Amino acid sequence: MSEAPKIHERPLSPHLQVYRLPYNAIMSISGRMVGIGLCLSLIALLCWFVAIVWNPSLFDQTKMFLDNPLTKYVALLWAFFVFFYIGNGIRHVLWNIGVGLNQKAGIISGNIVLLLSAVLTIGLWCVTCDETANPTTQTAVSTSIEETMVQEEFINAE
Amino acid sequence: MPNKLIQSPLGKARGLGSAHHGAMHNLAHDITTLVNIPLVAWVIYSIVSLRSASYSEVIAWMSHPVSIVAAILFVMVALKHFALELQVVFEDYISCKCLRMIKVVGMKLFFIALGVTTIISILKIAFTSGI
Repeated sequence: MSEAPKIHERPLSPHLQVYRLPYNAIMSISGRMVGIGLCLSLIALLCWFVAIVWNPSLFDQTKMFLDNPLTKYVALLWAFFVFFYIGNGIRHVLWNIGVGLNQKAGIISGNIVLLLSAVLTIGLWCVTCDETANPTTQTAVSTSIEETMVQEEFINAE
Repeated sequence: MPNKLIQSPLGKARGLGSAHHGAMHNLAHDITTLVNIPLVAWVIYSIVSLRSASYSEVIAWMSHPVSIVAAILFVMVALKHFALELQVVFEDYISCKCLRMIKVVGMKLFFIALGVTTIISILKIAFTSGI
């Protein structure tokens, strides 16, 4: 019975604040945080889509923001997170069917996911890098709302 | 509810174990991950090809039958996936049962509302652009 008060002197179990996370734990928690971020970005994307469908004048207003050169890099970063998240998802599917379930395989598959995400993002960057070389196309397509309506009617007539 | 004082240890433990719903949750999470791969590829391809498009070009692209089907499927599968994902996050990090319940149910109701609104918007484009 005299041992009972010593319960307070027990060492703490390693938790997030005091424990240097190993590679696989970092990948795990960052996968979850990226998932939450992508979820919020999906909500924003869908809200924007709904808004421009019901109020087409919002399209031209947001176009100014979308034509900002910085937006492209934000979009590329977003694409990197999308690739990372899907890659992580495939890792989880493989683990659930019993493939690669050990520390070493986890590190290897994590590195493959990071590498593939980077390669795919750089690929997307190469595909879209004509944008900065030819900035006149951006101003050419930003039509006013009246013109858009006329074009819409034209498409309907077709 | 029987008196806790006279309950056997087995009686106290009964009903506190697994709800046996976790496997289906995890399976649905994995399946939505795999199904989303081609749909996300289509979304990224659409965004890249429409990156400097006008409103009418976006509408013309969106009113193509393939786009309508892919967009509706993407919205449904992605929201289902994130609903499952966020539910696990809430269940892991919110210890207050009442708050957890409110967050999980509220999140799911919000996702249903957002999904329905988006699908109606996709259908609006589909039915007003004259396919």
